[in-house]
Amino acid sequence: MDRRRFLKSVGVASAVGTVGFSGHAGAQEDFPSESLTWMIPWSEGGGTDQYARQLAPVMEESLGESIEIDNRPGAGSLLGSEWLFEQDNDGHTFGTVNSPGWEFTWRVEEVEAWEPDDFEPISFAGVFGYTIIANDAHGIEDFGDLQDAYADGDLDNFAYQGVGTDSHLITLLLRDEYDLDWQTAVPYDGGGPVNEAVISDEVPAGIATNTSAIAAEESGDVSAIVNLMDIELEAFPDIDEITEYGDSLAYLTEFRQMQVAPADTPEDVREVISEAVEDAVEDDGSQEWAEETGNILEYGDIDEATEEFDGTVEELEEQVDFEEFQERVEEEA
Amino acid sequence: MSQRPDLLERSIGLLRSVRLQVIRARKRLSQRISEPIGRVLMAIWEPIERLLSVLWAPFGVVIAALASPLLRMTDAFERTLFGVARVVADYSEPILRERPTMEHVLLVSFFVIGVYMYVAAEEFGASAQVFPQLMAATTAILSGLLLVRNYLDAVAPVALAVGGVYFAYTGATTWIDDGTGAVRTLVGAALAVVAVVERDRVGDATKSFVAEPMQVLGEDDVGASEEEEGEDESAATGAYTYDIVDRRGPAVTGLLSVLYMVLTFAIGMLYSTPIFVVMYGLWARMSPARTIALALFSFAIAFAFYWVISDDIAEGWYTGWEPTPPDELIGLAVSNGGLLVDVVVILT
Amino acid sequence: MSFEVFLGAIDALFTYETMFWVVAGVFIGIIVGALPGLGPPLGMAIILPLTLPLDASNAIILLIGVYSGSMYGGSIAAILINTPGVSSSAATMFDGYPMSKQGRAATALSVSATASAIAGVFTITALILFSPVLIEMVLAVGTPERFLVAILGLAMITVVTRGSLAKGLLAGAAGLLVTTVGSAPMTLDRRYSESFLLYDGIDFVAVLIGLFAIAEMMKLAGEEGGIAEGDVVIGGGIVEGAVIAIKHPITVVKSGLIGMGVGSIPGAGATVSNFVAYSEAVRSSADPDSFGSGNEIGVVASEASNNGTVAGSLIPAISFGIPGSSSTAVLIGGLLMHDLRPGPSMFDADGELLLTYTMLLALLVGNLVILLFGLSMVTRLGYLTKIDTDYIIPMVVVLSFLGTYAIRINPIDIITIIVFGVIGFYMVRYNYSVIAFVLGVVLGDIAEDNLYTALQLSDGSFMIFVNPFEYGRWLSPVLVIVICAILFGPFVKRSIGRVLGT
Repeated sequence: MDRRRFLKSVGVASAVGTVGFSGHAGAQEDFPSESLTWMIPWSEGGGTDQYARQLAPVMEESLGESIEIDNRPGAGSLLGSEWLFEQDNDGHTFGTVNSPGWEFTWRVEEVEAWEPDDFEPISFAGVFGYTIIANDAHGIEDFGDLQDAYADGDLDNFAYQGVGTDSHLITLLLRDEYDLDWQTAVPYDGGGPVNEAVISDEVPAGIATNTSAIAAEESGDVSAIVNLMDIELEAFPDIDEITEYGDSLAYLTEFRQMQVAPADTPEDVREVISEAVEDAVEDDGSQEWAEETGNILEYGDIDEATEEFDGTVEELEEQVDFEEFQERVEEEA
Repeated sequence: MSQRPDLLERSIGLLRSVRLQVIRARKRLSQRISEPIGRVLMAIWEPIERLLSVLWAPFGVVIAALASPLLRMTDAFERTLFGVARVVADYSEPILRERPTMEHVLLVSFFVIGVYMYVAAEEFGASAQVFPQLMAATTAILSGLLLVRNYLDAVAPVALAVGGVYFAYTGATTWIDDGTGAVRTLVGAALAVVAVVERDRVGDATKSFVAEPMQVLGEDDVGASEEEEGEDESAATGAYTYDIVDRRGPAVTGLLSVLYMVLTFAIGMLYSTPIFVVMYGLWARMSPARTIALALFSFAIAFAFYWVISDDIAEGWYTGWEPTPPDELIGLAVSNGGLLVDVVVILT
Repeated sequence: MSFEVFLGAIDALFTYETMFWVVAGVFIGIIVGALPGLGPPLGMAIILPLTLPLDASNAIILLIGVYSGSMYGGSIAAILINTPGVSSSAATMFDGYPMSKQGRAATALSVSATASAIAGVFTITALILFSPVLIEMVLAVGTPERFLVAILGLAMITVVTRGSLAKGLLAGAAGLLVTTVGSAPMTLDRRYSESFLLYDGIDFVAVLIGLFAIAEMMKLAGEEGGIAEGDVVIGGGIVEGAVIAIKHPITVVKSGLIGMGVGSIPGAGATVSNFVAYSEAVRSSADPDSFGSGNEIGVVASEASNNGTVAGSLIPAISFGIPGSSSTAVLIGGLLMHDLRPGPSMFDADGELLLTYTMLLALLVGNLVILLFGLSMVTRLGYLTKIDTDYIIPMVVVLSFLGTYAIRINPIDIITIIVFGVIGFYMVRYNYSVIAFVLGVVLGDIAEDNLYTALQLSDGSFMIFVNPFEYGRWLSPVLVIVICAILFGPFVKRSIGRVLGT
């Protein structure tokens, strides 16, 4: 712990030092003065990475400086966040986190070195979330069919994206509170393998993000059955909504791609970045990309982002009994 | 063998002679070009090498002066180390019934790690335990077997008997509890009986499992390969039985690598790379010019990695300190002018 | 296979611009592959943002060129300095490096180039011709099959063990044990370490580099002279190498197919296929003992399989958007970035079939580029084996450190290299099968993960591997039979021989 504080203070000291000695008066007003680093805690080619690579070129024009995208995958986005925590807070380094999934993972993994509240929100740029996909071979059209199929014993297995993840909790909740009587919940290592398993009918149904559901549908014999978010999906205009079967799950299933900066990054600096994000989101090219690919672009400024961001951990604690979840995970193992 | 038609023969012969001509012409051409180029290069390099050696001379003297007490310390250290090793070896030789080598160190390490990992796995959840414990147990058992390979005649049947009794016992208790485990009891009992009755065969079988280089796919009879064991070792391993000319070589390389790692944690890989190369060059007694040239070359490679792949390698991982990389040095010098500012910024 | 579109693809391919990108991609790929630790994922990831200004077709061709080139490039480091430039060139080291020691580096490099090129051409042609069938087969490979392939790889330990069986099994078990460090797939446990640095386990590429590169450098430090222990033959060696590869078409085709098949399995497909192809070559050879001391067929098998992997991994990537490895993940990312959706549209004549064919044909051309480049320039690198090891050793250590550290800036990786360097050094010295160890390290994760998931699917029953009727999986029983044949075949053969009185 001391090393982190030490590093942070060295970072702050050198930031102050560089500003002081750089010979420019009021350097904050000249932000940005060098190239920026955008940290993505997932690997290249993934969903979050694609958002960034779409928006970055437009942001570069707004900011007048180049943006380097730095992929730091590992530990379910926690490694990247930990790195961001230690960076200078002069605004030249920021990153993306997917809230509330990120806070959920943070809580389950019991990270001690930092907290989500240690970061300063800048904006959010995109929304995505979970749906349930099923293989067409079983003739399932909506969530009601799915419930019946499991209840009748026609189907046994249900796939989710990893032990202890938010999709795991969602799977348990689907059985407890939404009458989805699966026999065995099968964990896979992430969203890709779940998609694969459903496409090849190794499991009849599973949890997939809305964008990967589009890809799964296009690749053949899979359909998206129900939308687990509250937000409507343009790509699936007639899809069933989970809210017809019970309470909203949005606190677990809806993610916002948040841009955040290390602690104590000045607000005016964050404003500059936020405006650049806005320009990028509203750019025609980006809107076209969003329509074509099914990614949802939605901008939220600093205040909206702060509103969403603050208190997420408390909200999660209220809705979710983490101890019980962890115990159940241990038991079922 | 088929007879080729005459026309084909002749065209092949023609092609062959053409090819020969081309090869000869190419050789002559390359000789004519490469010789003078080579001479020019050597003409340039030699005075540089001599100049560097002259410039290096005072440094060399200083380093030698500093190094000699260090070398004497390492010599003394080495002697004590070998002394201790010899004592340990002498004591353990009767226990192992063979000359102890680093192989035994390796085996003991495997054994210890296997046991440790087995015990540590007790804390895991049930399904997360299975695989690690299975592998750890296998590692420990196999390395244990190899350590006692000279006792296998006695040890193997005993171990098997003990194992058999244990299985029989646990099987019996679970059978009394809930009716399962009958198989385990029977298997355990059978093993125990076999171990006692067929002592010799068990011992031989285990020995062939452990000691002989056994070809799973070959035609070898187990008995025959026993005599050939001595030769078989080297033949069966292919190219990799070697003589180490200089025992210090591998040890020093390993040590220098560890130092390289420590330096990387301290000041980052960008600058520790040439330092490592220089250290190695000094130890290998390369000429100073070549050491420096190699160090510069390695620095260039490290810089290429820094630039193209990841600029984090210039940062010492443990200390978080980043001695200023060359591009920033140049950049600062250009943009700020003023030596004082550069120095201060470097210091922060 | 639509002929019209095919012709259109040829037309699109043979333009100066497209050809330029093919050659550039392969060239970059070879360099990236030759540098230890870096590997195609990193190379492709770096190139990915640079492809944005290009049009879709050229961008994908560039990425695929890098992918394919790096598969070949990995063999360069493997042969010359016993370092796997790409993890799927690991098996090339086993016979390629001894060939270098015998002064036949140029021959080995030439064998590698030729075998790579031929297998590449062959597998891509198969892909073009038989894509619908192959796509169906990809779907047949699910979780239980992946577990069985891992077991198949492990069963190969018995094939390739040269020393005592106990030593081989110990090495295999120890290798498997290494993979248990890290977060468990089925519970929240972080096994053997609480630190996030070890969350994703011990990086197997670092283990490979340590076991082979560092260990070998340590060993060389105790010897004199260059890597090659005798005279180095360059000129004639090149022709000899090419001829050898051509003269063993069966091995090339078989290994290419193994590469294609196993390589289409997500996970460590490429690395595993490499070992399986090599072991198969050993098993089916008339002279298994000569492997490990410079038998060129070993190089042929290994290199043919890793280029076959490229074609194999493209199938799930293009047809389903399923990334088999980090390289294909980057590739899929590239497709998506250029507004292409993996899926049936890629094979639809009204959709993107033109692009798909152009891409595959570009790969074909890329393999020819590999052949030309490999035979002419790369073989000259054989001269490196003449250089005194005092220069090679520090450079290899430096490259190993840089290559491994630069990927994820994880200090554990450096410790891994050194620790396994020492272990590898002593294991080789005392005749413990390093191959078995490596097999364990590579296959451990796949085996455990997929076993657990497979048992979940079948509610704990092992019948899922054996009973095609109940579970509808026909590939599993086939694999089980193959494994049994490998493990018990020799014994059965011998007992039958004895019974028949021969």
